[in-house]
Amino acid sequence: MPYRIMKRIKLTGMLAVALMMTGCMSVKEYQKMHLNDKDMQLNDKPLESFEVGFQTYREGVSGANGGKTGGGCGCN
Amino acid sequence: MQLTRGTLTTGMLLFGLYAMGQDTSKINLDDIEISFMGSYYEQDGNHSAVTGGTGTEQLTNVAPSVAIVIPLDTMNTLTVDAAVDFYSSASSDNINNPFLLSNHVSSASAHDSRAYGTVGYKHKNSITGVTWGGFIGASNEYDVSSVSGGMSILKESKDHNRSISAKASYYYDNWSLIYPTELRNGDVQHLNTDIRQSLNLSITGSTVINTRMNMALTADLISQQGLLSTPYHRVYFADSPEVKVEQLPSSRLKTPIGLRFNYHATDFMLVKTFYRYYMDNWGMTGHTIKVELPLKLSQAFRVYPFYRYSTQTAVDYFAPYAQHTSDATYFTSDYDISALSSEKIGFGFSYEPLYGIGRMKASKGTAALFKSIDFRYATYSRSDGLTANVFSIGLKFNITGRKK
Repeated sequence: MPYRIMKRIKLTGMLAVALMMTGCMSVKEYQKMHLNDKDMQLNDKPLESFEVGFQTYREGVSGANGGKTGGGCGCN
Repeated sequence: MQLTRGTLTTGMLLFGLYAMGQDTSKINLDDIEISFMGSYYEQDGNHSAVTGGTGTEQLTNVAPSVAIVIPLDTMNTLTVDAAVDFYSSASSDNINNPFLLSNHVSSASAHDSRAYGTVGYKHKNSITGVTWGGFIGASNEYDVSSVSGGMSILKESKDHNRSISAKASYYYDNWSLIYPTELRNGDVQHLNTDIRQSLNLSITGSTVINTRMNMALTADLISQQGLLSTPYHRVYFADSPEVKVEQLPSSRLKTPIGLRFNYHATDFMLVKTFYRYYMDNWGMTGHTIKVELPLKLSQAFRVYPFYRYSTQTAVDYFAPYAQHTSDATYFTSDYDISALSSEKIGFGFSYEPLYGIGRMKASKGTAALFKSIDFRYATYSRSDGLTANVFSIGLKFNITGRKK
């Protein structure tokens, strides 16, 4: 595996661990009125899946968004 | 005092009798969620890889789908997704319509369909905060059949403010090698395999920042092996009149990293952002940003304008129409993997009243609740001239009042 890819994987791992270990603020359940809003979810809306699908075929860049990253064709 | 004690005793007796009369063997189950979605997509451009990087890319696609979430009990959930793509593609028609021959005609569209579905299962342990799951899936169209499977695990912190998840999925695609008509010559094979395998590993960490902000970081590692060329993509050369089938390496490693940040800015406006850096071992790098601004116009009604910009460099093996040299090992004129930028702009709205849009009684105390309606429109343009429009609509229903 190329050195730069390995380096990036390690960097990402360290960032993810750092992110996990530094919860910026302890928010209680009763303080989560805004965080529990349906638009605060950390993923794409289900209805956006069609757009994510065609973008996967019409562009070379893909992934890291929870969407489909391979398999099947649909590449016309 | 005597009166109070008597009242209390009588009350406890009555409560005991009432409780005995209840069927305690049954528990309430979460609602079954059924989402019907549909999408219409149209595109046009003039760089089809079927005709060597020039020629029509006109395509329309209609895609109805259904997604069902069935809570089996308080810990286990079953999911079922199914969809069909019905498309007509002018460039597909050109597979049998030799582009450089004098008898080439403007093509009528070729029609085909693609059906796909997945079944998933999740088990959540609320005490440990661990959720694990798996899925299997399949898809089929005229020239490709595919099976897939995967597993996932998620661990939440006790205060539900942080989580880390990992997911692995595998796809096995079996292609029918359909070459351009002028390159079909008996048993001559232009590509040495008809199998594509994709292994996707993904890790995501998310955290609450404060009462109005959260974020997530995702890193994917995507390895593809086997047939990565498309058998009906033509390539024309600068130094030869010969036409060949696209040739690409048999392995590709993609390493995208994505960052999401959400901010509940005011009581009626949110800011959702996404950034991705992409790199692969074919020489492509890219950046993608997306911003969405959900606006709460009322308790039930929201609109959300959005904008997305993406840019990428070309893979090492790309050259436009008739610019490759015929002695190259790998060559493609597929503009999807060329240097380009793209913009997408659009809006959506959702209508979701607190108690639903409508309700209909079903059997055994259950009811069907028409919960929400969503609509979305986006217009897309690529720097090479390709344009597209996509309309999507979603209707969500819940089956409520289930007991087990």
